[in-house]
Amino acid sequence: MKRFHISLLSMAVLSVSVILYSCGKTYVPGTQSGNWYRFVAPFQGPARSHAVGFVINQDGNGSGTSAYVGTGVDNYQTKYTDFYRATPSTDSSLTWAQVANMPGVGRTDAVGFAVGGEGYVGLGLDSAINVLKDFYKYDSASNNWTAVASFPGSPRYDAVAFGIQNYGYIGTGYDGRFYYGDFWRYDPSADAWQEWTTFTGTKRSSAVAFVYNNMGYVVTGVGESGGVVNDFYRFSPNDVPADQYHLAQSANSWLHLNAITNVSVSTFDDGYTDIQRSGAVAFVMTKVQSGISGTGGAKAFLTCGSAGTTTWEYDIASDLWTTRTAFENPSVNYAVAFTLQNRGFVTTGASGSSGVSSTCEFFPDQVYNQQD
Amino acid sequence: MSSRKFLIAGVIVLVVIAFYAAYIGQQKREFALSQQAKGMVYVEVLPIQTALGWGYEIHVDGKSYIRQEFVPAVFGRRGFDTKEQAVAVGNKVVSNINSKSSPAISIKDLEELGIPIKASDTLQKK
Repeated sequence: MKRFHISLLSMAVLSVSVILYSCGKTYVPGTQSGNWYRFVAPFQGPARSHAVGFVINQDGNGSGTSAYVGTGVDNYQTKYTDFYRATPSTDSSLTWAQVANMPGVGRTDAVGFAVGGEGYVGLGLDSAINVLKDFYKYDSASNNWTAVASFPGSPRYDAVAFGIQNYGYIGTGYDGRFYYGDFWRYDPSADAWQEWTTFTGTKRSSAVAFVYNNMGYVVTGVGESGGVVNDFYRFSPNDVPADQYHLAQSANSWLHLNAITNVSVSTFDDGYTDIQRSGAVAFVMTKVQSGISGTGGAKAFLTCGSAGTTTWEYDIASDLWTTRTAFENPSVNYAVAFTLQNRGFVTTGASGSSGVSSTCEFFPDQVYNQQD
Repeated sequence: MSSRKFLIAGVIVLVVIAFYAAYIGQQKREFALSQQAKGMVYVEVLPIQTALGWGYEIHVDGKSYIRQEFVPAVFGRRGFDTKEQAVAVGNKVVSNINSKSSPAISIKDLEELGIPIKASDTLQKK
């Protein structure tokens, strides 16, 4: 009996001490600025930038079960058609697999979105600088690609796209001469495109889009003047009456949010020094514990691109931005970001003129640790 | 009385062992990370068998990096016909990683390794 007590007690002490020792990163409410973990399993394909990604089986907040990343350009100007699947794992954060190559030509600056278990990729720029409008569907269940209806708007690259419920939405972009502000809806069940309510902000390319609560957010990018733009909008597809979808700006589908530079007379935006940028990435995490004034909740994180490594948290409930721990690798332009099971990742991109394959995961509730 | 002393001594010894084990674990992890930072990694290929056929896993420093259940780059969820084919392609991935090139496989690689490719594997289906 006594021996039993001893072993029981020893086990308890043992577990407690192991737990205490392994909790190097303790949680202190309101004080974390977050930690970028730099040793996530790297992108499986050749290092590259200007790739595209989509996340299948998304909830209404853009978080899904697997991400697919492909196309883009390497350091030798080779443009790719290959695709790779990333799935969350516990030991290396991500496990990769190489899936079927996309049909069509190798390209950069394409767009991708997913509806259910199917991903859609199209538009972009090929190695002969042709601006593209072809579109392909990837079926994750069968690992097959098929051509679908081409984009009916002007061919373009550096547009934004997102999937919400049963539809995909694509808009903005650039074709080498003109910047665009039109928005289109793709209906997978009919394999058909329809022009949707025009984006009410400045026409732009290389903007950033993310999805929360079945609404699309489009922010920053390069405007017609060639400089970065500071206007920010929220798109609510379900607020468009069925008989008005074709009327530009007819419905309350585009809501103007706070500008991302210090333009108001209030003080909330006094610190908005370098949120605006191009070629950046963003991802949403819904269960963040820390944040502005210690309030948690749903946040989008914007990082990298032309403004460098600075990372901004967008608090969706309050429409306010605050700084977080800067991206801990050299800044990457035209990278790919995605959310899997509420975990945010950034992969690929151009560091200076070199494409990279490194992948980082952001832990918003951890304390900055420069060792990992 | 002596049994209580024995208990306390036992607990102290166990705590010391626990801390030492945790410390060694941490050292190992930091070593792996530093090796990773230096670009020095231990890579191995493990054949796997699934409902789709043969495939492979690539482990880097003992952690699963790639799990390839079907033939890469081509259409369809078709495993390799034989274990040898899966290992041959897995070894190509390992040699790519060891030569600091990317662990990607091209259709040309598959052909060179004698993996049967059907016309339907790459042609676009309508």
